[in-house]
Amino acid sequence: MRPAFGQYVPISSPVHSLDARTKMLIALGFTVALFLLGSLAGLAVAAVAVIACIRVARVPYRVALRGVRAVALILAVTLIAHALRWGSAPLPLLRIGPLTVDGRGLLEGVFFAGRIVLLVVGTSLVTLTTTPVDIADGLERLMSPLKILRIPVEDLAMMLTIALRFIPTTATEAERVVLAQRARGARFDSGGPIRRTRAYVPVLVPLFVNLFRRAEELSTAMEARGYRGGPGRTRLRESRMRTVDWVVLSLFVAALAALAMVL
Amino acid sequence: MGLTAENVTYVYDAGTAFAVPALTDADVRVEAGRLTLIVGPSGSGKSTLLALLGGLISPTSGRVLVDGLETPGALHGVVGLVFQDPESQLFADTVRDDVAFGPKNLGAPDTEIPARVEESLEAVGLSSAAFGSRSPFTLSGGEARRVAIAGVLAMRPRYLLLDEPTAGLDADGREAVRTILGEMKGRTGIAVVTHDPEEFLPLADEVVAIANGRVAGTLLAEEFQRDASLLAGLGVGLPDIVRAQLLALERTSARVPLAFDPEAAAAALIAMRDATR
Amino acid sequence: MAGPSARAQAEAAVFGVSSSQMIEFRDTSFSYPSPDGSRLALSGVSLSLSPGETVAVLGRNGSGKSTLAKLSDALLLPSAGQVLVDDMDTRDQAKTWDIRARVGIVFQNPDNQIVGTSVEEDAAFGPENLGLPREEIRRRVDEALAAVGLAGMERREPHTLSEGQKQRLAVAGVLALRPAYIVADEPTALLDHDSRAAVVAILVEQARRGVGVVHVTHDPAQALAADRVVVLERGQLAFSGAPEALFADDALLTALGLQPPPLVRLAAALRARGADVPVVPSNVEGLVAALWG
Repeated sequence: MRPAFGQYVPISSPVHSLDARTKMLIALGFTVALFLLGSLAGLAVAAVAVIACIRVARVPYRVALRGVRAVALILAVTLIAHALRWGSAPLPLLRIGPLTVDGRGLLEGVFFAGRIVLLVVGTSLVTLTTTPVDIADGLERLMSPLKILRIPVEDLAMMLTIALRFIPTTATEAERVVLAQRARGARFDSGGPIRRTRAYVPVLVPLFVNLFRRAEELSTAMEARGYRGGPGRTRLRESRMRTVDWVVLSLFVAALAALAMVL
Repeated sequence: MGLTAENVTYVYDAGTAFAVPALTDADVRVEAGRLTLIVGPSGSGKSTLLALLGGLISPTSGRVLVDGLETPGALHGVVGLVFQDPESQLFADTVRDDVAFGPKNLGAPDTEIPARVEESLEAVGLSSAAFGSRSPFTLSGGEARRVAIAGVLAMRPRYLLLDEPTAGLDADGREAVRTILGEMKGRTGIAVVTHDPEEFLPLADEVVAIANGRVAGTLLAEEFQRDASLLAGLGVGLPDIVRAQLLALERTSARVPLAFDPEAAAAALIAMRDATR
Repeated sequence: MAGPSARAQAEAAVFGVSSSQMIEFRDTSFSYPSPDGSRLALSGVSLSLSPGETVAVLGRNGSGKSTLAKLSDALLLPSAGQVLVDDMDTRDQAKTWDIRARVGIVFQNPDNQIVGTSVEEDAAFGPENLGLPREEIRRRVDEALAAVGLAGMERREPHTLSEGQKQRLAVAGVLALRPAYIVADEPTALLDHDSRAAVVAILVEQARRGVGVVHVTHDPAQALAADRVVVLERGQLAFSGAPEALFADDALLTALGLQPPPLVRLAAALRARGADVPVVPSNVEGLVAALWG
């Protein structure tokens, strides 16, 4: 079965063996940094960093860049919105009727679009190199200080685990319902946007009904196996921050600091 | 005439690195007035075959013909497909609305639709007065399944393909489905995919065995000395009645046509035993 | 017949251990609240299950089979009467979690029981809930996965498993609790022939190891192998006894809307032709052997 966008790639690499927390913290730091930098030079550095990570993670470029297709529309809109101007422009490159392609605007568009690409690809590296188990686990451990604020961290982590567990299952179910309705003559590809949206009612209603039924059965099964909420549960898997994790995190922070001063 | 798959092959994600052959060189024929059982272990390609026969997917090679034409039968209502767990696809406010969905999509005239709905509900043994205005989500498993089947029958298909139509039902529910199929058989060509042939053997005219994406054999209900042992080697769930006869065959050189029902099987077994005495 | 329960009681008498090791339904009733008053799902059912015993529960949809299963694990509490698990009353809230560690339930839909993102994570769910130390959880997970034939698939994600494998995983999740009793509520209804046989074989093996098994099923053929058969009809106990007694009684079967398993019908047809074969043969091989004498 073809893996979906962002789905875990089961190979081994230095990135795969890092603790989930390390990767998530770096992704977080990377995201913040992306939004703080303001120049194309900075973007270029970020791009080099992402490419380097993809290489070290031994993930095929084709797989790593799959996310770009998903946001292609947003990228196009961003580019066009920045690059095209009505009437005259500070740095005209091309005229298309009443519209002008502005050189500076184009650069701006490239910057913003490029940032989106790096954001998508950079953060997807986390899900590509970390199993859902470890993601949920890592998040729970990262959030555990929040327990002081009476936030039900363990329950939230359980919710995340269940959500991750059922994403592929629900996707398959949706496909099947679509197929069944098509077999009854439903068309999903014709008519205007309103018609197309309404065409999905025969798909969404059964999915939601099943969702509620599943929730009831699943929660019954969980209680039958002794689940009574988060606190007090032990864990099968152990994840410990190793030296390499601390080293990588420190290097990352150092790099950020250095770049902040330079750029 | 008939709904035929001619030498069809289907490969998922064909041409990519993830290509997986699901069905290879399959020949199957569904004819009006006959019920064909398609049996095989799960993952053998049965459901793919059904989707191909229905025209929901196109074969990677080979062709599917509906009464001699290469058209996607299901999309024109000529071939009705009842998937596994069909009640999980019910969505409308009332049973009548749900059953009307198919004919409406096919462009049946509005004046005709209520009649079709009544006709289909009757065909599945549900009283329109009692069930018509109810929400599909308040029905029992067996009732919901019958409404789902009615929704397909309302399109008046010439061929009916069902995937595990009795899975998850209790004895009454299964009996109801068998009755529906028995009644539809006259006018409609029916193919039932099942991993439990026992249930439908009395209704079947023909059994097609599929394993590992290939048709491993086709048996006619009347004669199959040689072919029956073919079934045995497939790991298909053989009905106890057939297994008993196959075991008896090992003890005797007598050759008696195998039977699917207890009475005829008993006669066959006695005959085989007496031949060794 | 002198079964495991008699022996257990004898041992208990000698060693002075509590002899009430069983799941016991004492005149149990249960009503579901419904828009028009309440619906009586179970009415005055009395029944017991001892370790090592296998009881098959047959009945139509709506006969109360699933209600019975949930009552055994304190997932539902009786409206009247009692449900006792090893002397613990399910109504006693302090004992709920002990009861749930003692009784494992396997449900019909494989997907709706699996909560973990990998096979081993899901099998570990029960022991994690019990707060067991890591090494113990690991031990139990490995043991449970081996018992259901999923060893070596620890890291697989549930959606990549077949229905049969998923259901076996659900059973593993229950086995990891090391329950004294397993209640399986139509566990094979949605499975194909081979998977069905695999799950039944696991239940048989557990019973052999001394676990009390309740197998709720609507397939009479699966009841053939049980020590006892119980038939529910409209929430009431319509029959309780040996499978042979039930399947030999045509009138009773018809009244209860049950069909004898095909093997039994074949045996009856053979007996009608003068063959000396058991009324209720235990399997195909036995029947053919008996026919040849």
